[in-house]
Amino acid sequence: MMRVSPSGQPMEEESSLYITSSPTLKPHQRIELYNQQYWWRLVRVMQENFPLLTRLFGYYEFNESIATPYLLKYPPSKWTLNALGEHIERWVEEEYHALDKPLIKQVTAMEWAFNFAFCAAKLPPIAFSEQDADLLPQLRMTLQPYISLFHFDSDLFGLREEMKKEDPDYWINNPFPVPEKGNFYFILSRNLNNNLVLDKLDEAAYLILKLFKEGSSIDEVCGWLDGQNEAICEQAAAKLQFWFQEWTLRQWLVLQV
Amino acid sequence: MKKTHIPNLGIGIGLRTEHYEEIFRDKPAIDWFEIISENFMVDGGKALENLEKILELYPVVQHGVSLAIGSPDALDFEYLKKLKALTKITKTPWVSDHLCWGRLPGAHYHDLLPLPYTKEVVGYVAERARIVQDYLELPFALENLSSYVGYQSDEMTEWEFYTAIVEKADIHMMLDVNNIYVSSRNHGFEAKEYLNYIPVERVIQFHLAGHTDKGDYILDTHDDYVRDEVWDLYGIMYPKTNKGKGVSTLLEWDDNFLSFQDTWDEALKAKQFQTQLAKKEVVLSGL
Repeated sequence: MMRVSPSGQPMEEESSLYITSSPTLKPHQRIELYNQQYWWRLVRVMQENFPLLTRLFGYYEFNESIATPYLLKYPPSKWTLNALGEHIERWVEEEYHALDKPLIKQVTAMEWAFNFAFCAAKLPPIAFSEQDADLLPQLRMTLQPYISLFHFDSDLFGLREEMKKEDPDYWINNPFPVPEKGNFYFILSRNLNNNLVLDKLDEAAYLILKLFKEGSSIDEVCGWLDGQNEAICEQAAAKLQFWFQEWTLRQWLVLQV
Repeated sequence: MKKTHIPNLGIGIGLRTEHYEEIFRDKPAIDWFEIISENFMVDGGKALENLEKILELYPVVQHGVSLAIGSPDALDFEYLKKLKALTKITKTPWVSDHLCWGRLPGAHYHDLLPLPYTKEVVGYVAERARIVQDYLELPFALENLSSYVGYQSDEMTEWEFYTAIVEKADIHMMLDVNNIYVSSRNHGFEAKEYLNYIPVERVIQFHLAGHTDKGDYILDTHDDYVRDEVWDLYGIMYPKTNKGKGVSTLLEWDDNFLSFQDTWDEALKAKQFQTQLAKKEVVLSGL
């Protein structure tokens, strides 16, 4: 394939204006080495950061249908490769139009969350004992930056763990695991040893944590609960105190600034 | 050149996640580790926790890949601020990065792209290197690249270019002898001519690594044993550095990983050249 330079001229001609030949390679061949390394490096990072996506498509299709078009639209602009996939959800929304778009949207959101959680900041957790007890119900809280919440109609996290056990090439010739269907609520966080941890949630816990994620006080959460259906209220009534103790121990709650 | 004490840390290897389990379990008697600064310029999480554990056990030196000092846009002080903050954690005795460009406004290529060897670029890079060293308040070293292109606009050789910059900026050299060999094959020059020219008093560290011979060119892959030709270049240069006392040496291995012990065994081969140096010292002391 004859490569064309950004000016529209054949690369073979234009490169010789700027690049010298080596004893063995012509100028356009020398430039091509950098081109190859650029794509190899970035596509490899995308494969590593989106392992389920890579296995759903296979290496070749992932490179052709996801990684390369994504990187063409959102080439790296920051000094850190940690940020390489930060626009993937937007790209799927804008550019991906296959029938499995709803699934791919969920998978990219989930996998980007893993990447983000790995190196996100940890803020000082709320020390409830140090707060004025009278003002506690009005204290606006949110969640640690590394926490993400998910609601899926199938066990996508289970699917990810199962598929990661094998190399992407394995799934070309073998049937995918079938994820369990149903309402699945998850929270992705870090434990006190900074390891990524995934927990399943009750629906009520998920919804309450979602309120905190957006910024909420205990009073506001209780007010919200008043308007919920019987199932949610029953779950919350039975477990809310326990949940709060757990979320405090796990240092999930921080003051909203 | 400013007189700054640069310690000879001995022989080190690049710190890689693939080896964490062995390192934390066995606490091997390695002299030092080199870290890629950008891997730890993060807001939180496991990477920093692991770094703190390493720092309890070993000296660490920072080596960067994203400064792109020769790039045409302004120095990134947000990046430099994070880099400097990391030096306070690691207590690195010096900081190094590459003599290259790799950024344009709004774009970062995440590659080490060679610069044209011109007087104008010498002045441009030297000025920026001086600023970086002043800002970091630490000795700053630039590493020579392995490269695959040369430019029609080149006015001088790579070694003249590299030397002119470090002397004009009054900074140091992080001399990668594998890169010299790779570039010598890709550009058709004599590697020893490179070594004969550079100011050895500015060399504060060596890099050693493996590469891949593709026939028409050599690719700097850091995924194989150090070739004999590269050991030869190291053996020529090492005894000349630090007034004969030698400087810190680092083995880079970044892909197709061996076990930690096998990687360390490869790095320890460098001691053969230090042994030669020690033998000469014995002879000289008797004169």
